[in-house]
Amino acid sequence: MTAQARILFIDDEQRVLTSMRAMFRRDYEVHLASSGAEALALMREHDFDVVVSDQRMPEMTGVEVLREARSIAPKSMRILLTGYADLEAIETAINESEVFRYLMKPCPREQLKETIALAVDAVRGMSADARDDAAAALSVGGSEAAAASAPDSAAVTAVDLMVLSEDGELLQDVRHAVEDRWQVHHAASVADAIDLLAERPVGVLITDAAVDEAAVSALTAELKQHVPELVTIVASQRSDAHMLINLINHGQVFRFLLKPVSVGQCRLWLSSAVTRHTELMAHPETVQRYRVPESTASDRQGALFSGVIAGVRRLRSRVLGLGGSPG
Amino acid sequence: MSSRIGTCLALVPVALAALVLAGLLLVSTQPGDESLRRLDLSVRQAAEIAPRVVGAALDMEPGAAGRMAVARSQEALTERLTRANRAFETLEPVEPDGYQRLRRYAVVAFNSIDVQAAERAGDGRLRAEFAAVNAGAAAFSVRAENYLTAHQRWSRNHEFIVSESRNLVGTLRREREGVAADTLFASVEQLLDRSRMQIILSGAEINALLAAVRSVAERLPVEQRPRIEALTDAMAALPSQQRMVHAAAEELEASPLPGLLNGLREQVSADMVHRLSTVSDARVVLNVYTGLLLLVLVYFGLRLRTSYRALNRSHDELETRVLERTRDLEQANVDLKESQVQLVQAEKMSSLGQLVAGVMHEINTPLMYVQSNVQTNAENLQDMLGQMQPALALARCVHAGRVDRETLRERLTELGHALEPQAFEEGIEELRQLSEDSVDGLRQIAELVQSLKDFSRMDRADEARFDVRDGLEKTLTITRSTHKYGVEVVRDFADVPLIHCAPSKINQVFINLVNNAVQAMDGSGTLTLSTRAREGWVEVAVSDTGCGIAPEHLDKITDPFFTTKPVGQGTGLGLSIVRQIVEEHGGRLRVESEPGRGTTITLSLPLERAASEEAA
Repeated sequence: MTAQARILFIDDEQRVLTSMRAMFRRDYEVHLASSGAEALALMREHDFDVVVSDQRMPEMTGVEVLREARSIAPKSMRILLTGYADLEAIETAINESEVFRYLMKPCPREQLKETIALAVDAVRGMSADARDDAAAALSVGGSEAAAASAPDSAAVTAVDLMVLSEDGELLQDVRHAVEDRWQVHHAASVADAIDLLAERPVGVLITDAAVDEAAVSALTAELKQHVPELVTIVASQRSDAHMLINLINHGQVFRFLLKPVSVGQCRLWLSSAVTRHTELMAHPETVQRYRVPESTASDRQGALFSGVIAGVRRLRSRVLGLGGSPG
Repeated sequence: MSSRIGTCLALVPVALAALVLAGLLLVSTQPGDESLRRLDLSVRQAAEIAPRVVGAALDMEPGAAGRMAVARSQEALTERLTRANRAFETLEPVEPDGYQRLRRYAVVAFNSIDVQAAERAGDGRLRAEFAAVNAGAAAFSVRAENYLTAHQRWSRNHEFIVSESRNLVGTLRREREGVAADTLFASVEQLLDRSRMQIILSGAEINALLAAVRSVAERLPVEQRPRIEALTDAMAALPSQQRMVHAAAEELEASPLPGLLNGLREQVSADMVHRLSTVSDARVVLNVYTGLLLLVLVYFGLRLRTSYRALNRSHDELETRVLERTRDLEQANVDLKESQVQLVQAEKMSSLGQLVAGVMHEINTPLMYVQSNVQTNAENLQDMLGQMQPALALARCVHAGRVDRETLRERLTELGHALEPQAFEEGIEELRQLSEDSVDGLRQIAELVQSLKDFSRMDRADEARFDVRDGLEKTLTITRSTHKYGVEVVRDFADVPLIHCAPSKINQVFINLVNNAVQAMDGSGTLTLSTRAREGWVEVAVSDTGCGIAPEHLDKITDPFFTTKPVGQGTGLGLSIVRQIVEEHGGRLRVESEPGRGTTITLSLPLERAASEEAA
């Protein structure tokens, strides 16, 4: 095991890179790249634990670099650090780059440090074997095509889907996309959803942000905290930068689905989501990779769910304990 | 209407019947008898009146006057007919000539009547009656013929007896057979008297008279005696002839013709009454019909009145509504104006928002590293301070004057251990580097803040002398985030005089044009800003190498709300506001574009804001 975690910073502004190196050089092995191409070359050369990229850069944007990073260095944690809340970029950051955090410049020094420490922990915290396993799992599960081509492997494990939505449209879309491969439950309210989570081996939650945006954000965050193996897809009629960033940073939402839903897209993502869930169940230590900060006292909505969901967690571990530990 | 014609048609047969009757009576009464003359007169009058009845009926006007005229005519006709009938009843057609004429006319008249009746009357009973009259007339004429024959035979015999007896009496007188002459004369005279009086002598009386006449024959010359024979034969035949005349007369008198005529008259009269009643029925129907029509008319009148009232009401209502709508429209107009103002404001805020977002990023990046650098430097300084502690202690010793060799060595060793020269130098270098970067960053921030400050005058329409190049530079500074990547900026600035304008507004125009140009290029291209001085004018051109504007859109691009962007991505007010501002300054806006090649927008601004007075 190397003494220091290796971190790659990508920014077209040299001064930012200098600043980052000055900030982190004491604790980590810091590498710098001033463009996407340079960064990708470095990634092929070294194993990075964490890759931090700016979004707006000439030639290649941050999310593009991080999307490439997913296949070049699947186990490295991806963080976006940007001055823009660009909607399209955020959607890509979720759905394609699968970033660990979306940080806005100017990011408070402490927050940046904590986030990077957390990301390093997620990688370094695992045993070397587990890390290799996880890396292998990630490289398979990380690829959408792999998920689509091997749906049977996902189907063997008992995984249920749950749609949290007030109207039937999303449910219908999901049922259409699933084609009886998995059982799909419908929860019309957050309370229903919590009940179902306790009773059924729900592995993937598809929730409609329209139910109650704040509540959904808070619920997603709480669920990720207490039921980390649950994979969440959020669907919404509109996208809002603030909401999406919140969903990444606090909910580690797996995918963001813009309504009206494309059935093909939905099918692909549901497969990936089930695969991701299966991996998380098989390698519980990988949940670290999707850790979210604990809800603060000021987050009332979250606090409201917190107790309930903690209970759900206990219940689930009992219920799913039977089939939840393959191999 | 049809009812009225029906009534008229019903009257026509009545009048025809009257005419027929009149004609019949006219032709069947000729001689100078008083009753015949009366009949003639009545029938003529009836015949005159009948057409009038028909005429009146045909021309009958609806209303009391018309009806009364018809009624009067009908009454007159009935009266005349009654009179004619009475005359007919008193008519005694005993004269041979009258009978003859009657027969002749009757045949002709009835023949024609029959046809007419068959054709026109159409009434079964009347036709039968006419036929009966016709047949009766035929029979009557036969009887009249018989009578006339019998009468003729008798009257010739009578004449012969008279002349022959006169001759014989004369002959006897000449023979001086006075007694015989007297006997003959008396006997013949007795017979003729009786014959003239239509008294039929019995056989005994005749025989006595004949014996008396034969007795005188001996007194006559022999050649004259056969004449007595002839006379007695004629005298003997007279009574039987007289009887035949009587019989024929009786038969004639027993003829049913008068009765038939009377019947016809009654029939016609009854028919007329029937027709009249039909007419009166029709009149009732007509009245009812008229009444109904009147009711309908009244109904429609009422309806019309109601409709008029409704119309008036709805008219009033309509006016009220029109007034309401007008008020609504006025309100809508006011609202529209307000919302237009709000939209313009929104556009301003939106461009301001974009501006702020862009500027924010431009500020955030340096802010990020300045912040971090300062903190890192603080940490570094803390480190260095730690490393420098022995040196400081040494310095304190020196200052205190307590420097002995031992202490000096001790401190210097300490210092040498604490201080890693390379790391320290690196630290110093980093410190310098970070400080330098921070200073640059702060300068960038300060520039941006300064630009923003200039732009923050946006809503104050301060008039000033303004160098458009300054405005363009500031614009480029604060929009830098939009064209930092991929867009090459070319500044083609010729020396230009200051213009008198509202700088914040002109800056707004520049920002709008630059943003449009950058958006048109979608990330890569060349943005060229140029300034030129023209006689009394300054020209500013903003060129891009972007997608260009379709020719059909070229006229509309400065129209309010015109946009080719998807809903929600642009208010379509940007260029509209640009034009407004330029016009307020008395300037002009020229757009040249080639789709796929790029667009150049040229502003011409006057040095003095001449046209601004009225616009402002």
